[in-house]
Amino acid sequence: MANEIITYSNGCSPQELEATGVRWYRDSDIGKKLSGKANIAMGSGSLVYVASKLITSNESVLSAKDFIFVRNISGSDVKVSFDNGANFLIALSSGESFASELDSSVANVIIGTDGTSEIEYLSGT
Amino acid sequence: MAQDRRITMHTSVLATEQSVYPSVPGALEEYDIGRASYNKNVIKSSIGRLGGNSLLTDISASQWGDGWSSSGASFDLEWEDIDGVWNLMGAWENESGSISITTTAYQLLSNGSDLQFCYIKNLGSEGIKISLDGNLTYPLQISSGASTMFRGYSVNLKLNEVYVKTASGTSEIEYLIGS
Repeated sequence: MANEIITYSNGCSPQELEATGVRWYRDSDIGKKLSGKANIAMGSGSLVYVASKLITSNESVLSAKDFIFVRNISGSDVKVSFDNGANFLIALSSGESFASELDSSVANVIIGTDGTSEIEYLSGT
Repeated sequence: MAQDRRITMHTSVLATEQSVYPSVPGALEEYDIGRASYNKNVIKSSIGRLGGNSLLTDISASQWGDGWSSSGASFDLEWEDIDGVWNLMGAWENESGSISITTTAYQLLSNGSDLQFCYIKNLGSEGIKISLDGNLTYPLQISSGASTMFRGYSVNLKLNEVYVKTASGTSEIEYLIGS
């Protein structure tokens, strides 16, 4: 459906344990939280949302998408490939998420696992 | 070297779609309280808000240098470096930590260790592209104001394989990349 917009944000807070090992503080090399946010208008394509899928191999294929969100709900680490499974470069441990826009050169995104994982994903074109 | 390090991560994704709200008639004797039809983006109830928080503890307490972040700490300034008129030195201003990016590939760093964590934000107005294979392909892109973050899988992604460039024009990024 047209006129769909994805608002996504990624943020992180690097922390450092003080010398006596009692408290965590903002990392003294960085000194602040980091975050970014954008609204991405989808084209004439559609959103595909899968709330829960159990995977045991490299079996989830998302073709020609402009945006992808993947979350490892539970289980073994999940790995993500942007070149049809030739190279898995990104890892998601249980509870972790990945959200990013994709370049038009990406033909297939493959989500894999080395064990059994439950994932959630959203893709948009 | 820090005693220990960790990174809390947060991702939020909200899918919306445009809905048309009909006009509302409302002509009173003295004035009109009616409203024309308008468009509004509403949350897709079939999806809702996605994402969540997580904690990364795999990152090394000993990074390759203070420059693992483009931000730098605003308080790492040395008093002895401030030898002029203070309000002209700019020394008390926070470092912006931004790196200028053009269509020429920019390597975040040359260290060949395994990548444990990377965060990149586009501070400029032009979209940027990210390579994870040493400037061969650029599968990820980030619009103005957006950021992305990821962890390397196994030993497949090295610190020196992350490159950034624009499709056209000039932009700016801030980043954090660690082993």
